Amino acid sequence: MRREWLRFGGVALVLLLGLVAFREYRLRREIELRTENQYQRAFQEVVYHLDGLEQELAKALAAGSMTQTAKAFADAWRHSESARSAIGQLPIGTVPLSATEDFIGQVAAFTYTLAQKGASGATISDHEWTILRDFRRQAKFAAEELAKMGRAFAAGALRWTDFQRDTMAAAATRPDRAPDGAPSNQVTKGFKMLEDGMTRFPSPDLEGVLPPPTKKLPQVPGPIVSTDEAVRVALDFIGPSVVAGRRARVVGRIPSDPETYRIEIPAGKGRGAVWVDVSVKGGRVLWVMDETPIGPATITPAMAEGIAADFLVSRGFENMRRISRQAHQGVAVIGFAYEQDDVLVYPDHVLVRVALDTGRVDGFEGTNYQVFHRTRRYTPPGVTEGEAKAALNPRLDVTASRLAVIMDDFYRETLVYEFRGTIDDQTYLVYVNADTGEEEKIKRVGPQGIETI
Amino acid sequence: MYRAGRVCAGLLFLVALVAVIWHVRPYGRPAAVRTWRVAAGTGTGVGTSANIGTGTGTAATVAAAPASWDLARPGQAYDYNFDLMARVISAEARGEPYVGQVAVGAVILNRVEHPHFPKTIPGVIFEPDAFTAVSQGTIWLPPTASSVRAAQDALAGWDPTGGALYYYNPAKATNWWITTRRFLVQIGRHVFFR
Repeated sequence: MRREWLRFGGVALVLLLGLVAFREYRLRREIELRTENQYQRAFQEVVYHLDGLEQELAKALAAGSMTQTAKAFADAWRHSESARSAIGQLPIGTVPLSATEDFIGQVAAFTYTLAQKGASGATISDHEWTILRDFRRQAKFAAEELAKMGRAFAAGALRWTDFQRDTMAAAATRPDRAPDGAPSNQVTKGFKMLEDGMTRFPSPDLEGVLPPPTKKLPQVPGPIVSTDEAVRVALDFIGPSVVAGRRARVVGRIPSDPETYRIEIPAGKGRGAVWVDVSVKGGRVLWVMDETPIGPATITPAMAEGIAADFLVSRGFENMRRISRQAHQGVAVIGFAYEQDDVLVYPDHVLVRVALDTGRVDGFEGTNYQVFHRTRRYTPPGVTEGEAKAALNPRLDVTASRLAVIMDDFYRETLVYEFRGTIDDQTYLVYVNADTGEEEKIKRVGPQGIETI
Repeated sequence: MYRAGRVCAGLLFLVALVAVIWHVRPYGRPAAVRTWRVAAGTGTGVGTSANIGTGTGTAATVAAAPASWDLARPGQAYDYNFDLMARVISAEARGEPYVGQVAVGAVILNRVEHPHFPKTIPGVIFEPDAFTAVSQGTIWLPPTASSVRAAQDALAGWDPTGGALYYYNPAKATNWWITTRRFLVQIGRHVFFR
């Protein structure tokens, strides 16, 4: 009897385990397949959009009228952005692809710029046409290489999920070994072929055609300062009441743009650590962050605005005007821009953070101000305010206007008329070039001020 | 007789067990984990201190603002970019100095600006295997109050990394490819590269 039970139990157990295992396997396969399909879709989309990009660039090369050219550029731009977005969905973070990614970024920026130019009626120059031709060749090559990989995927020889597992395993088992650590399979080989090919194309001369792909602020003007000098500048800036007898030390020299000394005043005496970055050249404070914990608010953001303004005056920032204000999580962050001769200079802007518990300034961000600030000399506006106003949408209900300086991606400054106005329930800032009378830029004003500067 | 009854009972038991196993979903209840903890009043798009912009805020309204994390930014509807950043910061930099938390937010924004990365905050955050917190699902835990503030500071413009695009924790992970990058700075336990 007992034996029978055991036998029965044993069989039941094996059956059960088998069932559980089978179910787990089935679920896992299902999830893996779904992931695989997502990756496949993303990959095929990259191929599709590179193919489309090549076609549109080819059309733009041949187009005679600016209408057709502009249309081709707009489509080419859409394809390049879509390709970039699809690449971001693939598990290829560790695959070196910088030449390919550079290319897609450049094409996107280039076609966007040219589509804009086309919209304003301008024609493309010979130099731009040559760049376009080179870009089309590259797009053709990239699309073909990827299509080759696509064939390997379609033949079932290659799976993204396997590739992802291999990459993770390689990173885990041989973390310190450089390229050897990367698994060698058809995915990496395919991308290597693509990348090698892309690096062999001559890089087009985009100087002056496109803004630099990554923001590189210039150095702060002035001579190189010593670490001692930097510490002195930092301590002066944050003030003796915050330093409270603590010793500051330089914890690093950061090769950023601009290059900085990182200064730390360690936590102690009931206060959190204070971090200050002082520029290596010029010895100016770029930003400050005080980590002292913040208690319940006792002052209002409106009061914080006065505290921030006083702070700037005491630190030698003259003629600063408030441009934005936001309060959140017990702090208020107030933005200011420099004003000279009634012209608001947006490039020279700073942020001051005020803790709403005791009303102390516990943060400062002034990198742009320190890099760009100088006394400016303006050429008188070429158009009057009334003439500039003619460029505005007549539906805009203008409530205020003034002269301002704005900056583009090339760090070029433009003197503009700034019109504040409303349409529907939205408030806008519209910038009209003070020399040409053309509309330069439109910004929407959020509840806390300008959304982006 | 007895035997047939036992077999029947046993089979019934087996069928019941299989049915139970088959129906319990092994991957949890995602809906419960992903509940959005949005503070009251955000649904209307008006935050708890909407009067800040007009400069008429009083001490009472400010003090009434919830001390815990709160997705309502003054006068704004729920901001998914901001929320996602706070979550990644919270999950990636818990226990790091505050500057280190802002730094993680700054890396996300630097990637958005860089041509080699997706152009949006969700695109950067959900890039496959880009952030451990996303791969392991810890971003779905509620973010800490300080990480919400750090997200705010990073979005406002503070960048303690000097323009970093990558970081890692040498005690927890090693990546061969990151060593090919340019070292910028170490903050807390994280090392930042470009």
